[in-house]
Amino acid sequence: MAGNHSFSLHALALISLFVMAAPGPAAGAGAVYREAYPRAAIDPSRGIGGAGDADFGATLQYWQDEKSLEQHKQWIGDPEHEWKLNWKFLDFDRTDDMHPGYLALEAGEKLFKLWAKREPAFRTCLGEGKTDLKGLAATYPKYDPKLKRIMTVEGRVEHCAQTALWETFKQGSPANNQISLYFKSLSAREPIRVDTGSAEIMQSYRRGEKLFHAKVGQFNFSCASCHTSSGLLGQRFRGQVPTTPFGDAAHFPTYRLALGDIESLQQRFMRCNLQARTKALPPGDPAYTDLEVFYTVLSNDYPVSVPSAR
Amino acid sequence: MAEPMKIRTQLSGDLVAIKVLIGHVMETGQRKDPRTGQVIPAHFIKQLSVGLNGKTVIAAQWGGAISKDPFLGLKVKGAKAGDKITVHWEDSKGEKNSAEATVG
Amino acid sequence: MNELNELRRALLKGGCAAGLVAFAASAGLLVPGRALAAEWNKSAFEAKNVADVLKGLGASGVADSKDILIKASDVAENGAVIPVEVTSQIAGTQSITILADKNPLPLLAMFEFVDGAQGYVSTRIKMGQTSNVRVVVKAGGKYYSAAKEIKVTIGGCGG
Repeated sequence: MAGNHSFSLHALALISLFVMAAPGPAAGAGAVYREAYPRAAIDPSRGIGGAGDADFGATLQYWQDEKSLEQHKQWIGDPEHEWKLNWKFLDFDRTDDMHPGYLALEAGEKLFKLWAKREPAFRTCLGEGKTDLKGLAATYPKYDPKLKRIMTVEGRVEHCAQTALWETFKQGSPANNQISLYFKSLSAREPIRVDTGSAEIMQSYRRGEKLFHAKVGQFNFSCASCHTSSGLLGQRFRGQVPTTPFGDAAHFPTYRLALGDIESLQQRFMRCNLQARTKALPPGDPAYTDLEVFYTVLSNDYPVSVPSAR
Repeated sequence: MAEPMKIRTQLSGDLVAIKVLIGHVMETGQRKDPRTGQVIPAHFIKQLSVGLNGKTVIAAQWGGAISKDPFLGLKVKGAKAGDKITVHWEDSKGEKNSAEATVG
Repeated sequence: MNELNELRRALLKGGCAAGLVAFAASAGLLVPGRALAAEWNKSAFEAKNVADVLKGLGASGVADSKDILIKASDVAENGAVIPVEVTSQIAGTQSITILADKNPLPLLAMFEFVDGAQGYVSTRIKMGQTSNVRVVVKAGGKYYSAAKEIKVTIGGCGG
């Protein structure tokens, strides 16, 4: 696939031209280097209900539930309209296609059961004392008062592997992704319930919101540059259409056609950063955790949708 | 041959939609290992057959350009609940695998 | 009808191969239904261009057809995994063959249908570069074809 590199560079060059040509704020003396993208007022208590917000594409009506998706099925495959479905038609149970995400889930289940059998503390650590893990993952990310930090599903798996198994299942590693996928699948169809009543979660949410809007890197892009309607939401960009961030966190870890593998939400952030020519952070970095909190709160009330493919 | 294989069927009327997912590397034999520069030898499923109640209804021949962990969607008429769907494949190294599912 | 008989004979032959029966017995599964098609078509699969593939398949006088529907996205984010869905609405479809014109080895897959199997295939393919995906359908001993261009990029932003 060596031939594709030249294309990719070419595309990047085009984008940088486009960015330079775009009329931006005058970069005169005193101009703030890191200007924020126009802020959308999001009410975190509304979860995906906030997706009706005009600045986030107002597409909720098309993908909020099974019925709305069914009614707009004819848009699937239509480049003009497909983006309005927010790729939710690709979610678990909606497409009867089988994708290798199912193989990853199977691998995760095997791996988990093997370790939980060898060391039952692994299960109770993931279950925070309980042995039944059903529905638990839907409440992540959450603040752990004992560890005094915010835990994501991947972070919990890493932590429990370290403490219970003395094994290193680093976030972003295949073992961590597979076990996280299995853990999340035990909450499949359960509505996401991140605790917006928690002060720690809300502080993290606010930091994540700031990160979402902060312009960084060589291209001076923020998440908002593409994923809000004052950005490129709904427009063609590198042959694809950026969509609203509402409901996105629900299907991770997901099988990516682009990678031929599963990847976690924070690995997705890494790739996003790299493509916008920004130094990526390692999965598990506090900044990425804040961003994950922000994204997952925007998915509150949407069902956990794993395994999925994108 | 511990590679997993999944078969899912969906019956509407007498038409059964069959989905098959196979764990397989599907190496084309044209890729080089980026670390060693050595060509990774070809290893892909060459032949696959789908049977309905023991009678072959679809016979396929593949090259190496079917994606890793192949997916296959097919449709067969004349099926009813309780029918047996079998999928069998054989790859370029002579490895084989089979799986069976019941139309439900 | 002749081709169908030929195919059936070939299937039967495959199914009776001693090795297969032994394997089936050892697997403890039903014996029938696992019959493979005739010899893997080496000359067609190893051909380096479309014309040679068609020669290897024995396909001649291929006519364009609007009754072959190819469903795939216009742009593929990763050439290694491109979902493709093919439906042949041509009556009496006997086989569907999928090619990618500019792949080093253009022939991707060949599906032969008998006894109720519908002219429909959904799968995921690899493509080395932007090119036409070509589908050749055999029906009633004649060959029909349709094509759709898929642009292959890497590192798209979707997800």
